[in-house]
Amino acid sequence: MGLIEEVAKTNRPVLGNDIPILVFRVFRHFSAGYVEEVLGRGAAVVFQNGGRDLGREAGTMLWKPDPEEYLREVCQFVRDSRIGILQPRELNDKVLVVDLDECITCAGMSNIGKRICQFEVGFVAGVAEVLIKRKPKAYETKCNANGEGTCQVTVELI
Amino acid sequence: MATSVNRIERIQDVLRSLRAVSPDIVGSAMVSTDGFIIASLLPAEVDEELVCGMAAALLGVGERIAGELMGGSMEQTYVRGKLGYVILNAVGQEALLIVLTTPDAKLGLVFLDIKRRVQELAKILL
Repeated sequence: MGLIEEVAKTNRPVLGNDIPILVFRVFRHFSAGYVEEVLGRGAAVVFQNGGRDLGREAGTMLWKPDPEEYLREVCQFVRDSRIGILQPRELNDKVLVVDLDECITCAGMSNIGKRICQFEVGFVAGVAEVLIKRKPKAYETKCNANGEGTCQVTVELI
Repeated sequence: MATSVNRIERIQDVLRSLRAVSPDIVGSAMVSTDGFIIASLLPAEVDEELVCGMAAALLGVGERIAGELMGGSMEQTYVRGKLGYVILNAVGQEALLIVLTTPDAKLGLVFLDIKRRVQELAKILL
């Protein structure tokens, strides 16, 4: 059983399964802040690799032989899960570029002068890894938290 | 692409020469600070992806603790285990060198060899 299936089991008859995005962000940003304080620049790798694991697991669950159909499935999953609105901007032999609008982690935040969505970068990289069957490099090329209006992930496919 | 392949070959040559110069050195790898393997002479059973992540995290901890406790920058981090030492050295801002040694390695000599190779590796990465 994968981690997604394991954590999907809930038992909250009084409180239910939905939480405000503020609660998610508080958990996310407080833990990220402390990990960054301890690991310094090593923190980015930890978050990105965590996101990769999730992207691989989700990608394996959603996999379709046709790359475009596969990406559509992934985009729908991301939207249905309300992680954000994932929109492929470029896909060729060399590169995959996707925008993540309404990003769960940072949409609406003030410009704090840095890109912070390493976990989402890893997620997209993990999804791409299922497609190309090897570990690609990926980086964040835009971020709401950096005042760029959306989050964008670029994955090097070669 | 040819340049990139050539650079990796040169890095592998440096790793080979490091192992050749000292019988105490049993493995080495060059890893980017974003957690990717650049070149490796690590034992086959090692999970390279996991080690890359750990090494990048350990480098970060080393830099942070050197800064917090001594107010300076980190040059090297090492871990002593029952089966030997794992030594991490930053190579510029973008990479690090991992070296594995035997448990009775003469560390002074190993550190000297590492220092020389780090300089060579930094030049290759420029």
